[in-house]
Amino acid sequence: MCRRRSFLWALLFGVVLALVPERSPGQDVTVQAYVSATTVGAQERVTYTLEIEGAAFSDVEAPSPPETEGLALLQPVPSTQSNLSFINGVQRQSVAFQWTYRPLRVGTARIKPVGITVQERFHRTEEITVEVVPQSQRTQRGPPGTAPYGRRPSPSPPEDAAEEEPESRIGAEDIFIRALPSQRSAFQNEQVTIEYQLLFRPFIRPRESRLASSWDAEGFWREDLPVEGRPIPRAIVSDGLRYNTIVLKRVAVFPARSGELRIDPLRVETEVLAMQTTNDPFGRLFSMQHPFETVELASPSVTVEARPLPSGAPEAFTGAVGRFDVDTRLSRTTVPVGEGVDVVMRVRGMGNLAMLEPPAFDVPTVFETYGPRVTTALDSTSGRVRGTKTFTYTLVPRSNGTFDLPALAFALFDPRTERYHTTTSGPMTVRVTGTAEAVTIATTGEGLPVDDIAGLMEAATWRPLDRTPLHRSAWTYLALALPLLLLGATYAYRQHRTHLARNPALARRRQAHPLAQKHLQQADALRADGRPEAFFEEVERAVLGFIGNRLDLAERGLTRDQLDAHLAAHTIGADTRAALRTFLDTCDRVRFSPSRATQAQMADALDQAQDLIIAVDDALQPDEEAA
Amino acid sequence: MMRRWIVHTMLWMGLAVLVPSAHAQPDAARTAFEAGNVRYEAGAYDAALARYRQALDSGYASGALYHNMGNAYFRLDSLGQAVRYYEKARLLLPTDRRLEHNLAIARSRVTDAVPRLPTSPWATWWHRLAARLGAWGFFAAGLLGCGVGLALAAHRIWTGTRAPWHRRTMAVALLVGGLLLAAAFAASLEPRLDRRVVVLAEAIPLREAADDGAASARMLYEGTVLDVLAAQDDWLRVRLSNGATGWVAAPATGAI
Repeated sequence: MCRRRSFLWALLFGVVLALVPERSPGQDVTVQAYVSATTVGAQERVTYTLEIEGAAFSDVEAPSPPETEGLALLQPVPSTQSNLSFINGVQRQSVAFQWTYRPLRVGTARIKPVGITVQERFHRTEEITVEVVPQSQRTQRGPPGTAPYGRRPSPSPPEDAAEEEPESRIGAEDIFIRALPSQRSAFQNEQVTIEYQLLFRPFIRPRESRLASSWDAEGFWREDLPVEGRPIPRAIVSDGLRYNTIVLKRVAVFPARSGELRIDPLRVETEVLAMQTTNDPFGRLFSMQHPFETVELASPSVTVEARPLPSGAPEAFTGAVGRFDVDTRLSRTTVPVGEGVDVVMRVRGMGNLAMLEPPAFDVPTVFETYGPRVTTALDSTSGRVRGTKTFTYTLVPRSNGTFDLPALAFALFDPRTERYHTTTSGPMTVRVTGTAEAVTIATTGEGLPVDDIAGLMEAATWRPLDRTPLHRSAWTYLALALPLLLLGATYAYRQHRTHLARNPALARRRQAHPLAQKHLQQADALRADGRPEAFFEEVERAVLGFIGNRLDLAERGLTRDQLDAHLAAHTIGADTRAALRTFLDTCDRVRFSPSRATQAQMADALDQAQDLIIAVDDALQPDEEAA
Repeated sequence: MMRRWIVHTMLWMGLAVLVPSAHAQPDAARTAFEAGNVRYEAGAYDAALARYRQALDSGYASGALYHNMGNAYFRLDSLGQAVRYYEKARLLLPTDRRLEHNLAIARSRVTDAVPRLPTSPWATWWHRLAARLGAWGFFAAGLLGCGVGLALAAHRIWTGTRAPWHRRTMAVALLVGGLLLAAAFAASLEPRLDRRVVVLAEAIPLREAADDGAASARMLYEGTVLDVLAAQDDWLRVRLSNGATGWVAAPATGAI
């Protein structure tokens, strides 16, 4: 039965080897060395494994066993093993050489590096340190077997399993969680990824892992990155031991502030089974009948030193940190009034995409602005947060015209170069067609439309276009001169009046002619009315008044002789004086005569009066001119 | 009695200042203006402009006419002409809110608008008063003030009065009247001294000399208002509202 099964296995293995190439072309070769345990009892054995992945036996030159300190080689000829696997359709093959050592003494033992040539390339392993402790400290653990890959002997079942808690056969180094941050120091808002890996020895089988307590990263904005739901363990070597590892959690964190920020440990509760380490498949099967143990594992906490962003950030900077490409475009360049046009800024790259703020966009007020609508598409499959973020501004013009939109600027800080970069959009011109009448327009408190011109003015006050300017109009200067002329005339007249008031003789002389003329006209009127008494009285008053005014005399009350003497004193000729005397006598005679004077007599008297006035005036003129 | 006469005179002078002079409404201009408004409301902006120009050709103008022409040009996407006629209207209607609003809207459309230096409150006050009264209004008020002062002087000459109130009133009237007459001449001369133009071409270079080959300091875009400092052939030496100076081709501009 056993032989038949072995035959079938061998046949199947042979078929596989015949169907696949011996070695995949281009397969990377890795060489790693590990031991079955880094802490062993003095009576236990240590298995040293040199594993070459990506190569077949034919590619490998047989290595020599490594030199040791504190360990003795039990078999100089290594046991070998070849392995062929298909993972995700990719063929992987590996070979392993194993040597078994015995501790010589308690203390620290060392296995020196070993060199090996694979495909004509030389590889060298790291030194491995093994702590050898007294066997009494290793009573709970049986000595490791000599089977390949560190298989351990099956532990004895507890004698009173129902009464007592079964003692764990799993050490702290057999299964644990490690946290691998991408960096320990970062700028504020810079992306840091942390991967939590569950490492467990090959004989450990975990299942149903779950969070034991909440996990938090205070002071960070975080974005969970996807991990495989059904992970395939990956073999690695850590500190000289071989482990299988799966990724429990992967997260991108962005420091929200500067300073030393601490991330909580990841605490996981998992059920594990320590399998029997034997070559016998049945032994393995029975070892799985042991109960699973529930263990709580915790990763170490992670501390990130968050540095503040350097000064000198451009005005457009709103906190974008990473590596981004920016492009901005208009959905169309010609749009009717009332319809929308989109301004789309697309930011692509790796960084704090989810935290990006919309850039400031000072749109002309003629546009009604909606948005921006923000869409974010993150791609976390690459182990870092990358993707595209789109800001879409919808502009609705409320008036026609051609408008130049302001440049849309986006600034970022690149942590690699530790410099700020600003990307500015090119010119964006929108031509708006149509009219605004069909569009409902908001109005201000004064009833004026928002972002559009107000309507027509109905009432107009007209003024002629060809009106002569004020400073070129003659009327201007005439109007200015007239008041001054009037003021001058007033002053002159006032001066004249003052002068006459101070010189009564002159005043009377100036009034002599007008008064005489006035009396003569009244006398002529009396003559026409046929009133001789009044006529002669008036012509006498005209002549005597004229003489009195010209000579500055009080003419009333003067006798004929007194009057004659005054006239003679003013060089009035004798003829004139005689004529005056005759005229005055005639006037008296007619006035007091019972018979009425005729019209002819009155006309003669009027002529004589005028002649006398002229004669007296002529006679006085030379004296006055001489004065 | 004399005091009452002076008080009445001062009251009339005040009324003359506050009440704008009424002009006859020319029928031809008004008819064309109203016809233009009808066409504008119908969306026929070109036809509206033709009517408005017809009103101008009749020899009369008004702030409302210039404003409506600015509206029509704005609707026709002629930003330079729109700004030009709005500015013309502002000379006649300096305090009209609707006009200020429309001019602000038009200015906001100007590409690469030159920042405007703030106007002093005194200049704003002066322009508003000058637009309200006009040179002739200032002149009439000043003449009235000076007439009152001179009449008081004549009264002083005639009667020989030496009353302090008489002397003070006469001095105030002559001072106010003199200032108003000075303002009248300033308002009359201002349009000739303060020439402004608007860029009507889509874009023109501001050159360092009056020559097509001269270096260009910057581009000026349609609707930009410029102060004219000097003219030489087909070139204007202009000053921008930010104080920068240069030369522009005169045919590419329109006078305000």
